[in-house]
Amino acid sequence: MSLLIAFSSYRRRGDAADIYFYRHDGKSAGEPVEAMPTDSPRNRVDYRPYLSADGRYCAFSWQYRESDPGGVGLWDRVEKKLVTLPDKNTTGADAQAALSGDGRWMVFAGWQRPGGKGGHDLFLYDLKKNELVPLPNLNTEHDEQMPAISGDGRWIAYVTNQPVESGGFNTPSRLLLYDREKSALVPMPGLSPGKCRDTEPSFSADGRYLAFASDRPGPDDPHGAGDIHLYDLHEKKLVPLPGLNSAGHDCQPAISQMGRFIAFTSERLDAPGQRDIFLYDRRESKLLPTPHINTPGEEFEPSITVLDPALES
Amino acid sequence: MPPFVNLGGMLDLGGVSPLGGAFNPISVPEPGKGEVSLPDFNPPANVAGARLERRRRFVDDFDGLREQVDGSETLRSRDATYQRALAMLATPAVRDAFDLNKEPRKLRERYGASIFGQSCLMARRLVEAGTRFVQVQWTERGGAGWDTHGNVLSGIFEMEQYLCPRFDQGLSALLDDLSSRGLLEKTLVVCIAEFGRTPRINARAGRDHWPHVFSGLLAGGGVPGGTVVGASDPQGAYPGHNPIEAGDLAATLYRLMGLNSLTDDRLRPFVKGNAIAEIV
Repeated sequence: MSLLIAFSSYRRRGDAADIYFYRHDGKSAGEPVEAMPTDSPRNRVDYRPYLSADGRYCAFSWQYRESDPGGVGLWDRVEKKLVTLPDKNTTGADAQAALSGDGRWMVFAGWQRPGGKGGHDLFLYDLKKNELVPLPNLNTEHDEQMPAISGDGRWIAYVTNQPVESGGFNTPSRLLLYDREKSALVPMPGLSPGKCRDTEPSFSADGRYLAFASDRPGPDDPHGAGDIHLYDLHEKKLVPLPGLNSAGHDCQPAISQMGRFIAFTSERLDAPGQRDIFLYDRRESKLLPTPHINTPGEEFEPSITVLDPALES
Repeated sequence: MPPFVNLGGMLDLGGVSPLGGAFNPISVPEPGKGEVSLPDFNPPANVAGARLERRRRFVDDFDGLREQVDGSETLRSRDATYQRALAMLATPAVRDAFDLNKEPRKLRERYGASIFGQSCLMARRLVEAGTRFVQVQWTERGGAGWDTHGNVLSGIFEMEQYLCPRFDQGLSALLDDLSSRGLLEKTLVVCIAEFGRTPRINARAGRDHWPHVFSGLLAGGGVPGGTVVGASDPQGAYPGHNPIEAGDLAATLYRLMGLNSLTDDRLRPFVKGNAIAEIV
């Protein structure tokens, strides 16, 4: 089994998500391998997993219902324990953690977190030095959220509602790309924002591909339900994904290190849950069977990593 | 056809309490996921035809005996509801109306594969077949739905990413579909909740309960399209002008159905308000 997928599901508790792990051979076979244990006495909700490239670490968001704002955590699949993150969590509501491929950097969104500029802001945590690292010129008084980070931690893609022009109001979500080396935004020609909502970016670890969800009208869906799109940062253009999207909502893409595989969430009539996880192979331009991954209990928010590099060579 | 059907699960608010349980709706908690099954209506494979009738007589005898012993309103209500459901079993037209597999796949996809989307489609089928009142309740297997306190997932995030797109897809498909079949003119579509959300976002990036001002949407059924009635204040906290009370909305709905709640003795005890002039 060469692929590892982490995902959220309500399958165990019904009204609260847990995180599960699933292995796949990159062709047609797959099996669930484990669930991340939760803090049952306090009924913690765990969601939005994000795997390191080696599959050992899984960043995730958590929340205790009806109580505190919630935060982000890091699960060590080898030691089977939570990793202590000194000086990370505060009274602000943190969520949407993403890991760099080497597992060193964790970027996350904080709501009204001290040190932010207002609304949702992005923060970067150095897991090697156990400290927060500034992101100069990134946060604004608008919302910055849903971050994705490249394998080497240099590039951060995220979603903002910053107006395209000053004075704009109710701007749809759009994607921005931040270069940590230059502490500046980098243009993405061909991704011009319009009236559509671009959200949920996912970086290939090599920093070349950016998968994202959007309600851009397209041939797969003339009615504006969400679809998955792929942007090539080298070629600076959108790349077709034949056979991936459906007429329903396709969202929450997670792209593998070199961009061959995309796991995503979809709402399809012939799947067992309201939301289910699918796996797309760009090389074969087709969906791969994912036996035993989906249930009526809903599966969503996948993260993917390729454990056998030969699969993407 | 059953006169009142609930799709997507009942709000736990006591049903139609003042009228008695016999007026409660037929409820289908989850319409249309793959092969549609209606466990409340489908007789077991070995129960059909004459055998079904024998079962009905048996139930009559049994419940009659119990009713003598109990004599309760609850049992009478249950009896009426049960009889109604049982009678429907034998009607192919009714079973067809509840079967989403009879719709083209393209149209089912247009509504969205969500419980809400498929509920909207079933609502159209039921209205088309003659059901007078269909209630679609937004249902979540997990999560909190529109109760966006932010205490399970971040409320605003959930609303933007998940709730609004699915609501938009299902509702727009329903209106388009009703319109293209010539049903919208005589079908009143009402989208409403029991309260709104706080104008301020809380510490969990969610919005809590707020009864002071919120929006509703009406379409079809004689409603002049594009009409906006009333407004909130700039903060979205309280009515800014032309406040509409719940009783006014109820009076408006009845008026659109041809009933004057000010003069109709059946409605006057329950409906306190005036129909909205801009709509009726």
